[in-house]
Amino acid sequence: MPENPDQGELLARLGLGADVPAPLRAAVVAALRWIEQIDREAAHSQAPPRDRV
Amino acid sequence: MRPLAVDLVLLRGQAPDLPLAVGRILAARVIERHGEQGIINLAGALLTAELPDEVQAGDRLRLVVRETTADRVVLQMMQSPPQPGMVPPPVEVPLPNGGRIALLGREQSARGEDGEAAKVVTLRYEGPGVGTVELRVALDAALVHVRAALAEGAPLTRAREGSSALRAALAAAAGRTAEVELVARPDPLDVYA
Repeated sequence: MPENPDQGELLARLGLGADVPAPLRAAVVAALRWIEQIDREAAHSQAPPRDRV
Repeated sequence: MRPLAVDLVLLRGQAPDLPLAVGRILAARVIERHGEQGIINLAGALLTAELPDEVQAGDRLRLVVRETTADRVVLQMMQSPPQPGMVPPPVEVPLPNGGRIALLGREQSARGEDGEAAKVVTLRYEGPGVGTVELRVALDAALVHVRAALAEGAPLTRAREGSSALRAALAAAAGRTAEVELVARPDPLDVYA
């Protein structure tokens, strides 16, 4: 899974630079995308009905 | 200073809820010492450990979790009780959704049966929907393994519903067989006496 520039910057800010193997960086990105998706769904389900999109 | 290694199975048998995330600080007491080995009380669990030379019976220790593998936990003794600001907090990166991510640790685990050491990254994600999540991503030549610890209840249930998607995404991203482990996050206590 290729990193987009924002994800590359995020990893760099976390301290996961080019010294980290590319497959591990890719796995971290995949895990973060997944938890962000789970988080969005959870936040959406907690919002009052009128606030849901 | 030489680290201490304790048996994970014994520790889990006596203290199943003890948080063992990398970077966690634990308090222990040396019960007795015989040569290089001794017995320590770690969160109520009595464990045999190989002790550094300078440690004596009765000493109180502050131990930092450096590494966890399938069968042991490696603990590093802190030189003295931590002072405010002595242990730098992890760098937190804010997210557009109001959440935050922090890197808790990077390490290389002990070699497995195939002689291959896994590279491991541990992160903490805090989001408005799921709360705090600890993510441990480990990669070796054949496998990518993610362990996610979420709060019991809706966050863990939702994560379990999405676990197959994570497994597929990991396999595609890392080009390896993917394993996903989802567990309930223990109470966020930082120090056990």
